Amino acid sequence: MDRLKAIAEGEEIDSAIHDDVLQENPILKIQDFSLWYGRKQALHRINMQIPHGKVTALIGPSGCGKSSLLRSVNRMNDLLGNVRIEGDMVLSGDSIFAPGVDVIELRKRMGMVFQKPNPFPMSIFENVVYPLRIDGERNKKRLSDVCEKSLRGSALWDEVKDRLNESGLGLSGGQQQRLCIARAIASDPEVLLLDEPCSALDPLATGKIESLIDELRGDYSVLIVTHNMQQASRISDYTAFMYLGRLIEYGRTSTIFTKPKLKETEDYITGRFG
Amino acid sequence: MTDSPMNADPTMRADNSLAAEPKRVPRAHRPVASGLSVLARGESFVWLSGGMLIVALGMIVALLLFVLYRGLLTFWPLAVAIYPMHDGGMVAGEPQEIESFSYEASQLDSLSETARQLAIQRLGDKPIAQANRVYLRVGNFDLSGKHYEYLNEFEQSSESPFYPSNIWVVERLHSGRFYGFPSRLIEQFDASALPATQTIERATSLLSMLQGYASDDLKVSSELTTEIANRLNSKKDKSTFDYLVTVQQGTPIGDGEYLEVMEQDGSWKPFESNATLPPQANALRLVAVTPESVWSAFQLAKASIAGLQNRLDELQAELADNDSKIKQSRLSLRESELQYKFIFIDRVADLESDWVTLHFAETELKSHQNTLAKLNDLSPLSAVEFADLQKLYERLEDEYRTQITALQRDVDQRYKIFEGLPTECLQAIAAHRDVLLDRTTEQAKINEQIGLIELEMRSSRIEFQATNVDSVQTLAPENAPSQSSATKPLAAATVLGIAKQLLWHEAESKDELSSTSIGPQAWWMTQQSSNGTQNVLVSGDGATAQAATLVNSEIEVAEIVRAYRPNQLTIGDKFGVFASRWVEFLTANPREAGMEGGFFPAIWGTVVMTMIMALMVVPLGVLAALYLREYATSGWIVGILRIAINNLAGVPSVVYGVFGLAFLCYVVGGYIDGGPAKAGFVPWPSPIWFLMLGVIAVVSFAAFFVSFLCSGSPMTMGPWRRFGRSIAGFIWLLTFLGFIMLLAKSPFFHGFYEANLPNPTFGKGGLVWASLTLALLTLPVVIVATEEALSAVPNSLREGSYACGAGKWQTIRRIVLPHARPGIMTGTILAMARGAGEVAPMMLVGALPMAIDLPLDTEFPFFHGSRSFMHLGFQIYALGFQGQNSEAAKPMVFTTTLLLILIVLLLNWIAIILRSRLRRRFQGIHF
Repeated sequence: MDRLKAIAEGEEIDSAIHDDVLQENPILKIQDFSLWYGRKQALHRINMQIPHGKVTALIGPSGCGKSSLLRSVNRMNDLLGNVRIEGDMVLSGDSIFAPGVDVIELRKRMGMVFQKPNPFPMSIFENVVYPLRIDGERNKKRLSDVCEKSLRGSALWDEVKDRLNESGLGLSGGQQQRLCIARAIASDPEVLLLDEPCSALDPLATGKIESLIDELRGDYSVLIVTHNMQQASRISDYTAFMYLGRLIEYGRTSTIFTKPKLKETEDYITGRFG
Repeated sequence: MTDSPMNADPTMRADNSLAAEPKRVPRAHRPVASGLSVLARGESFVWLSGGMLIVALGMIVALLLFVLYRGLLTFWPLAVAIYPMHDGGMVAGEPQEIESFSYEASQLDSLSETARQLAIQRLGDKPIAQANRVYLRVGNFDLSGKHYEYLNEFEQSSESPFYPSNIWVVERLHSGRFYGFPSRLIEQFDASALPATQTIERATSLLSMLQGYASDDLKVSSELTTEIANRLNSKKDKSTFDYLVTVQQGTPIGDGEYLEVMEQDGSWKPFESNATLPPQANALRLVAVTPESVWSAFQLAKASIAGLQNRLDELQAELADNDSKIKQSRLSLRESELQYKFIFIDRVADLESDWVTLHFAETELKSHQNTLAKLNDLSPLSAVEFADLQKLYERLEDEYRTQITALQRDVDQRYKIFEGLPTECLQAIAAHRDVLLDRTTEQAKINEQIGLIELEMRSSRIEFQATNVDSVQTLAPENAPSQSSATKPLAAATVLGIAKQLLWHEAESKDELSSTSIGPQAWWMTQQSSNGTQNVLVSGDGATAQAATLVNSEIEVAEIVRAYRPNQLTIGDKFGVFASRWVEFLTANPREAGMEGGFFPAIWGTVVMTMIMALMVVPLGVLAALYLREYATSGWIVGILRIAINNLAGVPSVVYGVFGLAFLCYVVGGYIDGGPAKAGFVPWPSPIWFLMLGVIAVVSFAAFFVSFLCSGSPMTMGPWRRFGRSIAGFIWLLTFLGFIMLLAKSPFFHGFYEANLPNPTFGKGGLVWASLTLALLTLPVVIVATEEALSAVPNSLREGSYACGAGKWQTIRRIVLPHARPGIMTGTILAMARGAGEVAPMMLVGALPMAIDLPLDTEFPFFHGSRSFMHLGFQIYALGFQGQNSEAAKPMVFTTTLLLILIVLLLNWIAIILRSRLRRRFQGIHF
């Protein structure tokens, strides 16, 4: 437990990053990334590579900075005042935090799904094509093509194809979340960010979302934050364990869950702390 | 926790508790002061708070019911009673209510002798006594000078009031209501409007003009014109006669109606409808005499007059339009005067009447020529006669032409003064002259038509017999049998006999007397004497008999807005009258300073003003709230702003009125009218102005430059750039102020309505200023409501939108605003309801007690923002408390109040419907 004690005392530690992660082709590189909310430091010099076309899960106890890290990728933290960062992230070779980066253009390259389903108060069709609408797309053909493709991609098409013009708010919770995924993949993003997408859903809906994520693998690079270790082990290719703003261990999911390098990771996974 | 044992003495308890500390005492009831339990349990507070609620609700409901009752009562047709009085007179009217009052001996001086004695009897030894009085709507303002009257019980005779069935209530265009018995309706058929008659009239007047030129040197007989005129007159008689025959044959004579013909001496004689008219008949009239026939003839006449009235209204609108075109032309003349800086408009005004004379000279001559040519058709002239007339006419024409030429020369001479003017001015003057002449020609045509229609409208009239409070001619009461001698009730015949005796006593000769019963113990008597006909109302309860003479009053049917027989109405008829009064109230223009007629301009004014206010306040308030909630970083400045906005809602509304008048009307309005000078600013000389323009150009460039340098996301922004952003904001503010200064101090702008000065156009109260003032007044309501609605939009929606790559404005427009719309709507409607009922600022910024011209109508350019308008709330104040006759206006005040409450309720109701519809769209957003 020395490592945890050191972290609690504010010391910097090295992350245990497995070699097989480094051998993957990265889509997103996180380089020495630190983040402060006011004076409180929430992330400490994170170094990570998110592999292309794979599902990467972020696990860790509440308040460990998983969500902060995820929300830094598409710079959602900009919306809060009083946030300061150091370090950088690189998305397919483009810096995310360099001065002069157009945040809106940046966000268009990613899709994000939140903890609670948040469909917009408009029709199912409009919900899905919202990213295209804001880009000024008016071509009906293209809009309906994208709508169908995204809804098929999020395994919702068969359930809603006859009522595309009804309000998105009329769907069940699980359907709403899949609608949000459809919206997130409508603009064909490079990275898909999922922030605990199943925490507000019942087990049945969770199962559907999980199998959906499974299908998305390969087409999209997925970064998912989850509290549910079983979920992480079921759906992800790689898993990163975070604790108190530090990346502790990062490697292939099977390795992390069966024979992690660090005792702390094992303790957390087996439920001895956290 | 220590449990004290039960003990009433607090000091003892303190000791005990200390002592008992170590050992556990069994848990006991806590001590409660006696009498406290009921209060503590709170049952009494249920009653107290519930009772307060009932009191509050009761007051509101009572207010609404009171307004509803009084407001509805105004238009309900009440029965009309006739009250016999002690002094022998009788008073007719609608009894509104019977109330009790107290009086002292000193207040009795104005009473009649009998009444005073009764009152003193009632007083006895007491200083004050109670008595009843009737509040009576007596109408007949033209006869009595009163609309309402209190009749106290001492003035009323012992007989009870009676309700004659054939009395009418007549609502007139002028002098309010009239109560009376119709004695006859007369519809006169006049031939003077016939084209043939008019041609003859013209010919006769031409002949009389020609008469003046008959002289010896022309060798024309001075008798010639007279002779031809006589011949024409017989023609006229013939054409009149023909016309009357046609009328006579076409006139259906109903029951109780007959025809009368006018003899040559001007007297009217009854005439059998199937007999031949005497050739000297001048006019024919239909007379209805029985109550039923007067009623049915009135209905017919009313219907035909309604059609004429429509045509008359159209013509009068055309006339007004014509006038406004002339005014418009003068205005554009004044504009060119201002533009070219020459003063000529007064000289043009001098010339106007002469231009018109000259213009019509030819027309007049031509019409004389036409008449002369037509003379032969009217009555064949011999060749000699015609030649003679021709000679006379040439004389007339010569002289006329000489006059015209002189006038023309004079006008030309005066016109020369314009010669130095630039061509544009001359063109403007010529254009004005053309417009003037065109319009005057048109005006003459319209006036002619109006004259004919008015002649026709005035042909029907009704003669009424009315009771009159102030000028009753009573029959000498001393001749009536004294009360002591007639203790037992007298039979009706006896009362009549007494009345007949009285009347005979009054009349010099024993003329014919007829009587009709009009109620229990009440008779209508007609006395034909050598002096003419006199109508008398007689009533008696058996003990006394009294008779009051009636006053003749004649009302043209065209003057009558509505008439009904109040004591014959069924409940359905009453609702009919009630509904028709409401329709009039909602759709017609006011009459008699708003005491009668409709309130349409006030309703329209209120609605239009409220709508425009909403149009102004919604964008303003919503944008301000958007900035506060979505853009501004919350800090102490935003906090102070929010408090300030909330406090603005508490500023007395009259303060806004003062601001509206002093700033909007006088400064902004004055600026629009006549530029900086009119708004009270001293313009800069042009070099200084251009210098300032340059300075502000530099400052604005600096602002642009600084804000460009310091753009970017605040997250990656250093402290210097943050500071730069504040600086940029400050410089932008400076630029804005400088721009306002440039506008205010411009030496080049002289207003849009300079030509109309010194009459203000926008520089006085008007609809736009009233709406803008109210918009300011209701701005806090909208801002607060919108802010609340915005903060109720879930943040997850905003984040979802940003995550899709939407910008701030896209998110606001597509997600936030649609979601906040029901709340914004609620705020708007609340603001509208408040604005619609606001009176104090209206008094200052443009509401008038009487403004018939609507601010939004069908006349180009449709919206007249500078016009004053009528406003319901202001009308309540002006009518009830500022009018000449506030007592008479009281019923109307209640009706107006009712209407205002209804409008506000309607607005709220619409709001609730809209809001719930919108809300339904967002159902399921929270789970």
